[in-house]
Amino acid sequence: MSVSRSLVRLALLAYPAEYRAASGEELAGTALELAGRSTRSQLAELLGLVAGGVRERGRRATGGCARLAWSDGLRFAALLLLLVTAWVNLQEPSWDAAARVGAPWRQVAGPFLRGEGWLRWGAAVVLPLVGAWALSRGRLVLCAALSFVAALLFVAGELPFVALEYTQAGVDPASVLQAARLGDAVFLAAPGVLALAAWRPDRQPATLSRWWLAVPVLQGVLLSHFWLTTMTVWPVGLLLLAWLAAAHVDARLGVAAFATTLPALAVLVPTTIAGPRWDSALALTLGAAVCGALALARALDREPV
Amino acid sequence: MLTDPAYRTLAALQDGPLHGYAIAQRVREQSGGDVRLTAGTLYGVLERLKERGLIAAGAEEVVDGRARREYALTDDGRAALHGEAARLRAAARLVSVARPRPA
Repeated sequence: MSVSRSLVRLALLAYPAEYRAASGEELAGTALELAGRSTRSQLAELLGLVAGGVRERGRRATGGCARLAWSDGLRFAALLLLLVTAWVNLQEPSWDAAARVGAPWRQVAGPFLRGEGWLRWGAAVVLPLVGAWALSRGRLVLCAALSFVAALLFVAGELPFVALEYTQAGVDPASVLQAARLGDAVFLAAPGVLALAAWRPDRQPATLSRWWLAVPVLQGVLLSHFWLTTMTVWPVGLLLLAWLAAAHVDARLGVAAFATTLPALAVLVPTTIAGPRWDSALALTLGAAVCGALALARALDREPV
Repeated sequence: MLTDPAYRTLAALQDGPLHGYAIAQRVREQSGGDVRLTAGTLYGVLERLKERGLIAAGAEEVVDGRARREYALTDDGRAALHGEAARLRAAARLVSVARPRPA
């Protein structure tokens, strides 16, 4: 079997259009020659083209500058967290989830599906979405302000949010709940911290691609499979693994994976301490930490020529 | 400081200009078959080296129906290659002169 020119051309789509116009023919020719007859080397060439294309896009977007890669990576992480938050609140009115784990503030706030419950749910969805819009337009301070407001409202019991659902058989729900709320609050505030950390006085933040709006769709697909949500500690586990791979091709994604690990740990660590499944929670916490650190190391490793 | 693929690419070009496929082949020969650069990796490296002025690209030509372009070391590229080689030699010397500590 020899790798077909059409497959190579398909892989070349990973490169920016200008690059393909300037060097696509030459690159395709070299890839076809190097692919030879071995299936392994043919696969390596195809994957190499895809990785090289994504890397070239990242390099062009950041001018190959480490500082900008860092800045964009933090923005990506913040954007992801905001979209995840919006999706969580959109697809499942979380007062119901709070009721299932016996949240004490639910009695204070009243039943979800009555009166002001709808208003709060709307705010819980709209706040992160507006934050995401602000972030994608380069308005980092506005994004940070909205994130902090959302976190404060959550702490005050005015906004619903549950980053991670728990089974509570045989444990004291109060201790798990307090730990979970602490992690959830950090998760909500994290985009604000990341947006401020991404701010650079010498650079006007660029607008981000609309393709990032695909993230909540991906989350929806993941959420539709129960085993995925439980086995990977939704929402971060699977994405971290994906980003660990993506960090090989774009430094920004490595930074984003690392930055997403921090709020994920904020959710996981308290649960590890207070939760009933401390062994699996500890394993997942360590897994997330290692994935994040590896992704960052890989991203930083890409900086020299 | 150069990454390993960038260093090997410059080293492959030290005896004269080569096109992409020939560079990958030369890197493979010089490493005794240990290092295989895919086209995706190689052209990423070539792009960055071009931007830094360490190599120069010739005009594209079609040979046997395939587009090719030759790449050549610039003076800056040769200096960077020799500088990196000196750095690696110095680093290697640290190991070669080390003696096991007495127990």
